[in-house]
Amino acid sequence: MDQNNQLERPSLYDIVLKREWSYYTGSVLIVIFAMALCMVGSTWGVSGAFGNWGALLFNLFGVNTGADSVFKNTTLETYSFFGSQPALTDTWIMLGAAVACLLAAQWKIRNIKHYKQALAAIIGGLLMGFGAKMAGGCNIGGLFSQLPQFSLAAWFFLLFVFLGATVGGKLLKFFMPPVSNKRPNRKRLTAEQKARNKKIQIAAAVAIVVISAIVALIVAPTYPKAPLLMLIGLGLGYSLQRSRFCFTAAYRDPGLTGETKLTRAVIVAFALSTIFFFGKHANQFGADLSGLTAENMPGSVISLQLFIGAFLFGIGAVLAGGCASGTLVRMGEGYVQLWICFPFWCIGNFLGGAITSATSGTFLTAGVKVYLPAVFGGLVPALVIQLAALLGLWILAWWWENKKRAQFN
Amino acid sequence: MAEKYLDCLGEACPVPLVKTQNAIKDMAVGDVLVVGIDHTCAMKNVPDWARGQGYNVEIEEVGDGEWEVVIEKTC
Repeated sequence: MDQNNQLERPSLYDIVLKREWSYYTGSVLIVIFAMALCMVGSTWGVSGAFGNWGALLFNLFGVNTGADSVFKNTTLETYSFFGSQPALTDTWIMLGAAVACLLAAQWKIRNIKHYKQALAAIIGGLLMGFGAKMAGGCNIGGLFSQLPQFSLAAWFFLLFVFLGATVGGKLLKFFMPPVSNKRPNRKRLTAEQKARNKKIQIAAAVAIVVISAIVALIVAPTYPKAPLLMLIGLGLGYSLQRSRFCFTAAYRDPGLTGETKLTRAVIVAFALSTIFFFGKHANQFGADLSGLTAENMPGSVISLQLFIGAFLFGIGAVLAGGCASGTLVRMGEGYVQLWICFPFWCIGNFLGGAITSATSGTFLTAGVKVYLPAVFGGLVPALVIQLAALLGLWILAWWWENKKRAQFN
Repeated sequence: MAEKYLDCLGEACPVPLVKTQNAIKDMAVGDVLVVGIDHTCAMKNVPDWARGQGYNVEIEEVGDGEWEVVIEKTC
């Protein structure tokens, strides 16, 4: 039974567990889970955990990273895995993607076939780690969770990550495995073998869910938020994998392949999320923004460091084949290239902390925070302008794909 | 009516689609390209792109999480 063979009627199993969802389905579900995360804890971020894991990796190899070391890292002093929102959501995003892939009976070890892929993963991981630290977040924390909060910094992140991805796209040809037209000599599976593998994979998915539930019950008394955070992470991972959602593709593919379907899906996710944050901010700051102060203003500072960071991040994400959430999802799917990338992502992010503490207070970090409703004279005009800008981008992306398609033929 | 196989197993986006586009450019109308893929994103974006170009596309799951995308260059 092949889910894409249109001659055969898809089975219930295919529809419920196997068939990939549309990108827009992904947009809606990811926004819903991200909103839930906002309610339970704080806004969704991914790379926050990576720096801590990088520090732990250094400690594992006997390198002191504490306040008395050259790294002056104090985050581990208060760190606990089950007390850290990004650590929990990240881990269960990876597991959620694994569950989605296993339930569809599509899990396998996806091995690299050329050393260049490992090289791209290492360089890409380090660049993403550095970049995300400098830019104050990855595709998620610096962009997806910030742009809908009317932060001008996120629009700059988008611009520079796009420029970085364009450069990354040009560099990619040096890291691509050579073209091979030899069909690998693999035995096709019989129907019985397929049915048996499917049972094993589904059982593994159930095991992950059951073990997660047991862990959640055990830690719940100490960390009351942990079970919900794990559940939301699982939902995010499942939705990202099932809809093949990819934040990197949104700004990488228009230049590289001319495809903008994911670009438009990400734009729709931004728009939906913008509406949510409009309500949240109206509630938090008041419609007249009387509750807004310099301290509680959302968003990052627009600085040279943000531009450099987003640019490096864009290069890295294209080379490695996934951003932060994308790396986690592909690790869950059994992708060896991203398992190689991951420790270097963490190391890069941790070392990036040493850079940012050195540049703190210099011209690199000098800049302003710009909250768009404060510029446009209220939340309502900011909402209208932002939605109009996103609509404009959506139309531009749609026009671009048609143009590139016509050019190809 | 030549048939060509393109091995993209183990490769992450955007490599499979870039390689597919390059291969199709060099093919004549009526030729068939079989792309071997094990990337779950590429099994969506490669057929999406090819169908958008107006080509005939069939996907066969040849193993667990492993596909062959058969693209006939029709125009």
